[in-house]
Amino acid sequence: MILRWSLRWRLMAVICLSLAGLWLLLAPWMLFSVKAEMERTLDDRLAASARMVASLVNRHELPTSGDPGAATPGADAQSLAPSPQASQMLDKAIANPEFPASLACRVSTRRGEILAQSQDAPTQALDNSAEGYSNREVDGQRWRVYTATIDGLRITTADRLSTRDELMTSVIVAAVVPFIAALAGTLVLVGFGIERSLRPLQKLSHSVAGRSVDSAEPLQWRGGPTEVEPLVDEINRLMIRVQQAMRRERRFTGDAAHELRTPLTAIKTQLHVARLTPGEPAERALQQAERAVDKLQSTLEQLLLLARLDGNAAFEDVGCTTADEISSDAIRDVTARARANDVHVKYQTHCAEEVAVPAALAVTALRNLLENAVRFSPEGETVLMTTETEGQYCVWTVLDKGPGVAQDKLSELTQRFVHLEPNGNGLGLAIVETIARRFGGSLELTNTAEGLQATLRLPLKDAT
Amino acid sequence: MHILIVEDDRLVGDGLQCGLEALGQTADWVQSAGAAESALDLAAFDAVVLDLGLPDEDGLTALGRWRRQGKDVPVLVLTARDAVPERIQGLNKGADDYLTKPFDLEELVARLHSLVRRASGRSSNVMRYGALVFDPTTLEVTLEDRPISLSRRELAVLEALMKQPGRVLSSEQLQNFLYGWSEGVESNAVAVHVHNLRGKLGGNLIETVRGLGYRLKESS
Repeated sequence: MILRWSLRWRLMAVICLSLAGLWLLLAPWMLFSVKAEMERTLDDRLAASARMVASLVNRHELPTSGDPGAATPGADAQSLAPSPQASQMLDKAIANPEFPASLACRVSTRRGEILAQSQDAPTQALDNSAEGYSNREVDGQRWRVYTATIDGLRITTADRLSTRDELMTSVIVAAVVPFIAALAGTLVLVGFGIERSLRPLQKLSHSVAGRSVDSAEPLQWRGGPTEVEPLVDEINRLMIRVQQAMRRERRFTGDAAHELRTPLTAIKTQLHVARLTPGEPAERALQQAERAVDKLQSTLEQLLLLARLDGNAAFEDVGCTTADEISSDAIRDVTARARANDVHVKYQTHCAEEVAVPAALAVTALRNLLENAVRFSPEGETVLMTTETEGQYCVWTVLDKGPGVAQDKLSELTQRFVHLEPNGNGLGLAIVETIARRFGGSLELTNTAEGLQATLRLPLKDAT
Repeated sequence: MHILIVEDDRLVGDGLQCGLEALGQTADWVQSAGAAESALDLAAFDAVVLDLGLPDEDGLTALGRWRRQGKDVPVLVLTARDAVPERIQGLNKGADDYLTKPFDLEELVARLHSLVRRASGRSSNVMRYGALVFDPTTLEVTLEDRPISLSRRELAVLEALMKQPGRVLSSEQLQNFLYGWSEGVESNAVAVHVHNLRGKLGGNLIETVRGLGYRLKESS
């Protein structure tokens, strides 16, 4: 759910939840330790008060106190008697501004006779208390009581637990309120900061939305968070690739239009000539038109074959033909042309293994290579074809006696519509390479001392 | 008109040559930019039909160079691509007109006529000389409103002479208008056609300037 929110709300939620969560985790521990520390301190204060009262009593040498050294437990009990003078002294001491107002105090003999006590002391709470700390409840008020016997006097001090609770509450308030204020302030500031940081992103999205498809200008990323920079770079790279693809596509369309319209122009023009002229020139024009129709047909078929190869269309009869059958079919297909050019095609070696390429495609590939070789070989020369197995491949080589191809043009030859002579359409070698690549083979063109050598590698059918 | 066709596709080039000749023009055909440049250096052409995809050089590059060299012959560019930027680039490089394949032969000839007319500064295709009227687009000739039937070669001689009335054209110059290079020409062919023209148009229209050539006689 949170993943679908905007970046701003997501970040603010994360900040809010994590801060509050951490605080809530730490708060009990903090409060517990503050409370324990506070109770210890206040208990210490109770004990210190008791000691202070004892020292006051001693300083004023209450007549009842006797000799401190003789004040052994049980022995001096009777010597401690309440006297008005002592009470007055004590009252004065307890009314001393140094003495905490929230405290109640009683000084009594070991036997329990009260010598003095603070005015509003809760009598019951201070009665019969054991030595040390204890909690008591009197009239709905809870008290913390401390009793100690010092120099033969029994001194009891007490303070209200409600006072302690109030103190604790104010500590909690002091801890929570600034936290909530800080959290709210953080959220507002973070929201504002994110808003500012995202502004370049909005600008970027506007500039992407307003782009034309052909725009070559890269997206600019200035003044925004650097984390977005790689994304912008990638978008720019993607756009370059898309533009390259579009340019290729456009060139391909243009080239295809050229290869289709040119023979169409020839047909149209020659038919017009046939209509304009009588007799033999008309006959010749019709023949020329027919040749143009053949050319148009072959270009169309080659384009459709390429489209099927590109489109991963299914081809039947995989690997049911041997390399020898493919070779002889291809040679048969070019015989007429070879004879017309007075070029011999010589096939020397044999390979009876089955090839894992549909026979029609393998024959097409090989025929295209042979046709090129025949076309570029001078009259009376021989085109040499060999076959051999090499690992998992059947390798054909077709060597012509032509002039070869400039080294820097070799790699371009397999590109679509690249042709060296005006009557080619630049699809033949492109088809050979597409077929080879589609079935995991390869086509290699090399210049040799004799002429151009094409090496076609097609995978063999598995022996299994 | 004498047209130079620059077209690398054999079937299209052949068709254009035959077609232009069938429509009464004289056409020469070359298959590369280099050959076209030599042809333009050697002979005068009324117009060039230039295909863009040439084997040795892009047609537009060659055209740009010709224009820089001062060759101002009207050029009609043929292309099988229909990309608008290419068309604009072609016109910027000095093409006078643009035709996308496939086209109609008659449209091509009409456009060539229009180019030649614009280049020679005439406002109409029709050429007049006294009572003689010649319409190169329809190849119709009338003398005092009488239609006169002329052969293709005779029309070519007449067109050449009427284009610049009063100017003397040598036998070789006329021959250049009449024949492409591929055609075998008899040495006295021009004289024969002039003779026939005189027979059809009246003997005193075409004047022989001895030792120089022929011209249309000053109309009285």
